[in-house]
Amino acid sequence: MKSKKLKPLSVEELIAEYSPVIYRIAFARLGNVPDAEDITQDVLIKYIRSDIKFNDEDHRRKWLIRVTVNAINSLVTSSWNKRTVPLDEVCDAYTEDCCEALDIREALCRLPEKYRIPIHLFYFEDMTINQIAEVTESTEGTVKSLLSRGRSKLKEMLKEDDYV
Amino acid sequence: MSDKLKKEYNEYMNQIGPGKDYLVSLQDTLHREEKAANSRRRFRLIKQLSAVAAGILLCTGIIFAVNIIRHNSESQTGNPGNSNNHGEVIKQGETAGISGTDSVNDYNWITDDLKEYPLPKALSARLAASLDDLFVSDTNRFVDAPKAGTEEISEIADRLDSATETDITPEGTQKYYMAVFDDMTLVKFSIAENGVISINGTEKFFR
Repeated sequence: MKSKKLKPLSVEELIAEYSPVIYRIAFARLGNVPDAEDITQDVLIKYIRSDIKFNDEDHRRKWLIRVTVNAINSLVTSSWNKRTVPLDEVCDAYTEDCCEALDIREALCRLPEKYRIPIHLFYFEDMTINQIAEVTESTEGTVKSLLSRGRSKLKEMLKEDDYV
Repeated sequence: MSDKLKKEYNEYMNQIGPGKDYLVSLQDTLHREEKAANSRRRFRLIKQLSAVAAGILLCTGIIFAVNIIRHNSESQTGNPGNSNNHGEVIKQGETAGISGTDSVNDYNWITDDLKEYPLPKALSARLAASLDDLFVSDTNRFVDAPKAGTEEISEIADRLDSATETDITPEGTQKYYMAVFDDMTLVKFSIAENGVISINGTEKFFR
């Protein structure tokens, strides 16, 4: 990600530029639309309320992704979430004992949750391992390990040699 | 991850995104939040500015109070020097040293009919008209100081009457005088060896 000159964002620009980013991270991790929407709204409200002066676009982007990851972690560890079973869980359709090769959507739904954010940030957001470690507040070693294991699991689920 | 998997992942994720209805409601929510946040910021700014203004006012008040206290204590420390007036009442402002700063009280010995006169002439007129006693001393202290005689008073009155402002400063030894008038006001003045006269309450010199 190259640094662009920072410009003040209107609500419309903020939504156009960052709501898909936040929404996709939340969806990749949580796998359902209502939670992804809630997270997107919470993060953007936090942005509007914050008085942080961002040095550049990279700084703002990283801040938003970090807040998104924290919001997701808060949601999944909240006692309410632990007691709730979503009715429209996307991944519900896929069974654990499926033996045929899955498509990417199914494979991501079956992928253990801890691998989802690092894989998404690395492959979709084009973030470096260092940047992922920064926004997920973990070490580079942990990120490397999660990416490697996540890739192996996806490969295994997709059962295609050319994914290597 | 291979390029193929990355490509498939990105193609899949590109299909994922917030719905149009959701984005419309999100925009409304964020606009409301933006307005609220702006008013909160304005309120916070006003609070900060008020705090700064209050701080400045407080500092100014403290400085003003300290100055008043200091001024009062300086006035009070000047009093012992005037304890030589044999129990007579001394009005505030009359107690400053012979070369004290200008103040209204320093001239309260000047009666209305003398206001238009130059300072030495006014003093000469009062010496002639309403002098009770004129104490003489070699220092600006008049404890047990002798009183001037009629001749000396007359001579001083004449000298004051003809004195005009000068740039010459007092040189040589000085004689200090404290005139006490019949209305209990008093004035201090001195005459230097070179004839230069200083009158309490003014920085000017006369000769």
